Amino acid sequence: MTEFFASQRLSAYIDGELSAAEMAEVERALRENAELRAEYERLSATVDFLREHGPVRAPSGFHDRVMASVEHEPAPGGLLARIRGWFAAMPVETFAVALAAVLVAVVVSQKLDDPSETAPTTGEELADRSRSEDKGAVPAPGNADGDLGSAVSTEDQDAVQSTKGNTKEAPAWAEEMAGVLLPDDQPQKRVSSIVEPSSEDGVVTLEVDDEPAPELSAATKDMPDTEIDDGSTNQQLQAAASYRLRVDDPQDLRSLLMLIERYDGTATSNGKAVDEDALVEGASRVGVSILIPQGNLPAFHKALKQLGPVDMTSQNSAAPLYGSDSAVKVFVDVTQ
Amino acid sequence: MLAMLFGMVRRTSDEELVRRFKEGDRAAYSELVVRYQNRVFGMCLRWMGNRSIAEEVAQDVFLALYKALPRFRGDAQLSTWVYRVTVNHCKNRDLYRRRRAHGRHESIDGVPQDADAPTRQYADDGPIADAQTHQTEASELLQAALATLDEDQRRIIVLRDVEDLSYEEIADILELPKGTVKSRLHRARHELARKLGRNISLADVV
Repeated sequence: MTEFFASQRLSAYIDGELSAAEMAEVERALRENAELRAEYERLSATVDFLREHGPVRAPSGFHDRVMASVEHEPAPGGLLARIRGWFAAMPVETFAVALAAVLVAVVVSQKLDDPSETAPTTGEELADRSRSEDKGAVPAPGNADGDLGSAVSTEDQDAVQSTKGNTKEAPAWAEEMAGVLLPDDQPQKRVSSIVEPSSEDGVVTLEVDDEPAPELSAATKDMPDTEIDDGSTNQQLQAAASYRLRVDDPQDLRSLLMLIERYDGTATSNGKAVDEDALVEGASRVGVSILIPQGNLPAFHKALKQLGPVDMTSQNSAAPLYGSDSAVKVFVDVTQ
Repeated sequence: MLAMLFGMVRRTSDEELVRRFKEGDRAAYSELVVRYQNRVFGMCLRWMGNRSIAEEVAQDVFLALYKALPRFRGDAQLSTWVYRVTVNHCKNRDLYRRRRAHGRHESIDGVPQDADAPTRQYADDGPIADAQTHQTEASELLQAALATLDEDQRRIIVLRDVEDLSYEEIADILELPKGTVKSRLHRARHELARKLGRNISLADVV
């Protein structure tokens, strides 16, 4: 073993992470090389210093503050837990890769100051809109076979292709989800999405507030087409993950925008770059198109799930969630 | 009798606490907070370099855990999962700080300022303010040295040498190959040793 390799292995040697043969080699090098020994001592001292002075204690009262912060959270085992349980069963990983891009409609509900638009408040009305938008769908980008690139598995390509016709049907679970999101008999039910890291299986997180929200009829109406299609050069849509995400906390929106930026994506609203401050300070309801370069998409999607604003994706990868009776619509945007 | 005594002193497992919490026992969650608060806060502090922000982030972590625990399936150890959540929150906040700090001048010592710290703290934010609240001079020195490392190096060295996690656990949390963890850790230690060596003698460290 050369001195260079011995040097590179010093940390692992300190941690006992080398094989017996490698350890013997490092020890021999240490005996023969004073400079290497000095480096070893320096590293060991640094590790000891970190172990001695690194750990810290939480501030006084921290525990109480945490408990106070969850005091008004729904108790586990209640309605929220059941809803989460439904989504926990979804194999989102499979479907995630099928996404050529993610279009997210963000509903910021700080103010609702646009009463002029008619709002569908039932699943049927939403389905009508969804079907009318379906007719305007263009073929999925990529080659003639719908190849969306290396990020998409064969299985998922099949899934995308399966959506090319206008005969898409929402899977049963989607209807169930639509019922959760926009129960026809309880149109005032307030639905919010919350930002939090997902568990290892990347679960959709939804939260249904127990308090009625009178403004929901406005907040939950479909995004006008102009808000969804930003008119950019990116090819538009066919199946995959679009969902309406309600962001009640400005920090959540900031987090989302930061994530987009990190993965070289863009966030536009009505064809213009999203003005974060304007959104969080004055917006009532905004559709945001998110475009992520294809190569970054899997990583983005993974990070998105960890960050919190999560997509609603199909548990059946062969049948991406689509309009029909679902309140959740499906689009794909692909940057070229 | 012995078995009874053993049962009395036996530490309730994380799994048991999670199970009880899922059944609606908030006391179990409280116990989990007690169990993990130092680790979560410590991780946040060593990452953020500012106690007030670290506390904010740590509280966010526990709030997120409260909401997410009901769907924790136990595929990974709870501790690994908690660290992963903490890392994600720290990344998120760090990203936000950088974004907000874009266009601002960095401090002359190269230590990034906290972009989301309250305005009143701008004048004395960063390691100096942090130093005022740290318990020991060594801890202050360590914090300052850690702040000069790049993000990748800092998170790995904290997970390994402060939190005492195994290479496998770190690889799992950061979603990196074990070999990458090993090489980055070596570089991080080497760099930190160099930084610390500027300020303290080896004899002081040892």
